[in-house]
Formats: sequence, structure tokens, C-alpha cells
Amino acid sequence: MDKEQIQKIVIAVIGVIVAYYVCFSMIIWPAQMKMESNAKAVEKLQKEIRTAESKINQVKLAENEQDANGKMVEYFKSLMPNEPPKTFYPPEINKIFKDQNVQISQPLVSSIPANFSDITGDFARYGWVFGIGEITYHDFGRLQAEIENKNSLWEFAEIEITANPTSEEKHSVKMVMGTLGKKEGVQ
Amino acid sequence: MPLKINLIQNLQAEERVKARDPMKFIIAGAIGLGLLPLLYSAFVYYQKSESDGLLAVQKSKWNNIEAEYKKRQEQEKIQSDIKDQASKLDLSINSRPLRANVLNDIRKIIPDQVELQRLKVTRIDNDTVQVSITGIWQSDDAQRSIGQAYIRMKSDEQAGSKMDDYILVKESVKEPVLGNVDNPKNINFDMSFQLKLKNNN
Repeated sequence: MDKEQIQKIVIAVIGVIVAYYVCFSMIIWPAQMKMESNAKAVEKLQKEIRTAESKINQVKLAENEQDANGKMVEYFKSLMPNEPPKTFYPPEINKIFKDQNVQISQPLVSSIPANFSDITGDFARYGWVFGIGEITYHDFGRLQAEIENKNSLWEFAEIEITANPTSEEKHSVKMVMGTLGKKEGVQ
Repeated sequence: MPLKINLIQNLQAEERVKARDPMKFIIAGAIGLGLLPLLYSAFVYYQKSESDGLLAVQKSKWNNIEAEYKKRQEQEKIQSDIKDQASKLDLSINSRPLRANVLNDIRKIIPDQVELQRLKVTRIDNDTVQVSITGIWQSDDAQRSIGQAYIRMKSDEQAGSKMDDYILVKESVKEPVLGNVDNPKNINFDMSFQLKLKNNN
């Protein structure tokens, strides 16, 4: 081989190397990297789309339940007074017991345990303590049932029956009643 | 000078030598090798275009549902809040362990020999009440009778009591605390236990 031929071979080899370098570094590797990132992005998007579709269906299906729950909450809200509890309940409790021909002491605000008083963000149970001077055990049971049945948002939280020195049948009763209502500022 | 009669033959021989020139093969090979990555590049580029297309389709699909998804997420939060409020209200209204019939059931488990001085019933849970009694046991051997009554209640606690609407909560019956024991026929005592609504209704 003469010098000219060797030069040609060297140039050919260099040409091939340059061609490979250019193709791989400027086209193939960037394209492959882009494809890899595309595949990851597609996988992520497909996952998000599946999650979104599933959530959309789930929420659509729960719309009936949402309506029913909303109506239920509104119904109970409509039973609750808009007045402040301190001005509404004491006269109301007096009236309810008076309707049953039972005289009670003035209902006063009573603290009740947190697990009983905290209902949700909008509702709370307020406690009232008051007493009955004389009532028989059975009459009190009947009175309690009557009041519970007529007032779905009222509940007895504590009852203390003590013997009456002046009567064997009629006892003194002190009770704490919880009334369910809206928290301040809730309409 | 001799006659040159094989001029064409010589030219043909030269051509044959030229045709077998290895440089030609080297150049052709180099061109071939150089074309290979170009072809592969074209193939990869085609694949990349397909990949870009697929990504664009998914992006477009996502863009179409993203707004509704966000709206439904807000709606789900509202649904969850309303559900929570409704269930807590429902539980608060319907879980009433201190009902009128608790007095009836307590009456059944207090022995006749006990003269009740004080009865306190406190709601402690959605389905449980704490009962504390103070009484005077009146019988010939009152102190032992109180103990026997306690054992019976502990046994009822394990086996299930005979009450209609409540059961004794296990491990809730506390040992009676005796008051003045000077008179064996008349002894003061305090006792407490818990009652749980059957089936939470």
C-alpha cells in the first residue's frame, strides 16, 4: 500500500467514527432518553387519568347519598333553635316539664364531658342541670320516656335519684340533660 | 520495435487490476458502515415520534378531565363533610344509653333486701352508663349477703344478666364499700357497675 492509500484508509476510518459519533451523540442517545422520559410521563399520566376517572365515578355515584345526607342535616338543623342556647333552653325545658305537670328547679348551664358535648364542627350538645322535688320512681321513668320521645334532640346525660326523708315513695331527682344545637354563628 | 498486437488485452489486464483495487472495497465498506447509524437513527427517530405522539394523546386526555377531576375532588370533600355531620348527628340522636328503661332494668338487679338511698346513672359512652348506688342492706346476716350479692353480680357479668335491654359490662362490677357494720342486720354500702345497651339500639 502506498502512502496515498493509507491516507485514504485513515480518512475512511475517521469518517466512519465521526458518523457514528454524530449519530449516537446527536440523534440516537437524546432520542432514547426522550423516549424513556416520555414512557415515564405516559405511565404517570395514565395512572393519574385512571385515578381521576375512578374518583369522578365514585363521586358521581355518591351524589344520591350526598343529597340524602344533606337533607338529613338540614332537617335536624331546622329543629334546632336560632336563639342562643342560654336564652332558649331554660324556658323551653321548664315548659316541657310543666306540660307533664312536673315542677322543676331553674335549669342551669352544666358542663358535660367532651365526648358527649362535641358533635361536629357545626353542632354541639349543651348541658342543663335541674331537679325535681318529689316524684315516684315509676313516674319518673314514664316522664323520661315521654320527654325523650317528644324531643329527638334532647337526651338525659345523668340522673341522680335520692331518698326523700319526708316520703318513702316520692324521691328527689337531680338530672343533667343534654340538648343538641347549632354552635354559635352557625345558621 | 515489435508489433504490439495485444493492446486491448493489456488494457483489460490493467482494468482487472484496478477492479481488484482494495481501496475501492475499503471506501465502499466505509460508506456502508457510515450509513448504518444513519439508518438506525432514522428508526429511533421514528420511534421517538411515536412516543411523543402517545404522550401528547395522554396529555390531551388529562387536560380534558383535569378540570372535572378538581371539581369532583372539591365535591368529594363536601360529601365527606356532610356524611360526617350526618353520621355524627345520627349517632348522637339515636345512641341514647340513658333511656327510661334503664331504671326498669336496674330495678331487676337490685335485691329486695336493699333499701336504696341514692341511685346515680351517668351516660359515659354512646351505649354505656355508669350506675352507682348507695343503699342499706336489711337482713339477718347483711354483711355476708352483700358479699353474696356481689358474687352473683360478678357471675351475671360473665354469663349475661337477666335484664331486658342492658347487659352488665365485664369487669365493671366494683367490690361493695361497706359503711357502718355495727348493726349486722342493717348495713350501709356503696356499689357501682356499668350497663351496656344490648345491640346498641
